[in-house]
Amino acid sequence: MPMIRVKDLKKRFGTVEVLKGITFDVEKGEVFVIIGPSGSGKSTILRCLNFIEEYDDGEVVIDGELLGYRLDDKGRRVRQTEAEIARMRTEVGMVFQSYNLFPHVNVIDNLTMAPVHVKGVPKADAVALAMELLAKVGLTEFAEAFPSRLSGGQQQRVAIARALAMQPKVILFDEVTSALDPELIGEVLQVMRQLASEGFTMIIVTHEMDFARDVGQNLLFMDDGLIVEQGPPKELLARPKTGRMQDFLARFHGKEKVA
Amino acid sequence: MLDVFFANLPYLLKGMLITIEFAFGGIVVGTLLGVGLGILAVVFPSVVGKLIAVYVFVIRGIPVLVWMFMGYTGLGALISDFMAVLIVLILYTSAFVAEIARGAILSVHHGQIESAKSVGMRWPLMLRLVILPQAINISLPALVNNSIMIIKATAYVSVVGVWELSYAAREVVERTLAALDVFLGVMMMYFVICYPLAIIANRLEKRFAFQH
Repeated sequence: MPMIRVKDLKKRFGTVEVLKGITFDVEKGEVFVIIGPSGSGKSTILRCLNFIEEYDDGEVVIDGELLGYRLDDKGRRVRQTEAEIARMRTEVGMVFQSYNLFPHVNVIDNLTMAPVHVKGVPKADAVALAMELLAKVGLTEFAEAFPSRLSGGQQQRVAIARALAMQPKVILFDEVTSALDPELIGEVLQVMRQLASEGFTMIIVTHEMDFARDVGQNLLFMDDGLIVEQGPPKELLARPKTGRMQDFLARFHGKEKVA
Repeated sequence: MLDVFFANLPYLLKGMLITIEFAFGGIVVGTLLGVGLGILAVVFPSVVGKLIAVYVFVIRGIPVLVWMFMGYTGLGALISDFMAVLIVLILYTSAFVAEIARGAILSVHHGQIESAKSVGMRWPLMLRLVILPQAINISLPALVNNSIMIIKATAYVSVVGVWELSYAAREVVERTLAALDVFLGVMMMYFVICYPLAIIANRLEKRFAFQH
């Protein structure tokens, strides 16, 4: 059974249909990469996977459980309760483009807040796990620091550690290096490479094509709310089948395709 | 120069005490009520939020003096004058604080709510751990502003005949005709009432500031 199964996912914002019927599976331990131009809907897909955006149609199934909705006794779809949705969210970690660390508490408290208050983990255990995770992302000496004292790359690594602290089944990465200075991107990608090698299930929206090719196992190219191409990254990035993907990739090699 | 003022100081001090009671009651209870209303307006925007918006609009739209008259003649018939105008002060404060609180909560970056949700927090937990601590920081200057306004509004109760510092001051002036003398002194007394507020505000701002 795949870790994540998305079937015919549709999402509208007002009158604009942003997702027009998306279908894909993510296997356990897979590194799944989504690329595409701005506005193609890639971030929206991620945000539907932890129900931060409530999808309108289709299904998102996480480890066998339908997300956000359940069927009532007449077989109609009805929205899950806040409690059920919150519970499912603890199994899906998310790292945001703008880190979104809690600025009013220090790094350790950022990491322990949710485990202690949402999962009821004893403080000492949560702190122990937090220190382990900080070591994993290379930031042990910043445990007591406040987020504002950290660089963007450091904050993003803390954000990854915060997502890991809930011990989720899958981690979503929403363009996590797009807001970083080029010299700080490497340290974040390094952490992600390490997580991939440890067998985490990861869904990554990114513009880092080299990373996608080296680390990704499955790739989705999206445009205008639909999947245009899907397959192994090494294959697709080297030999894109459609003109749209060729145009998109051409931008990353500094050559504009002249119409 | 301030001889008349100092000669009447004991009398004026009694008035000051009443003013402080009004100010304290109005500010503390009114602020708590207003924060509660502000939170409700954000968490339940459709029905409760609209009701609170009407409440805020009506109360803020009418001068506090007019509310004093209405409270005095209306409520004052059922309960003591002191309680009637105190309730007016409390409700008046709460309307302004509700908007301050609502605005402060909405000013907390939306990304904070998303990341709190993404780790499985629900609204009560999110408010307590993530949103309100940041909102307090944002709202402190406006809350202090509002509290100073309420201290000054306490003077209006004298117009409906409730005795406090400015009422006492006018009595002394009527008796001694030393207007400048007395009012200079009374100005200092109002300043003395406001000063602890400024100290508390300073401490609170330091306490809730995001440390660096």
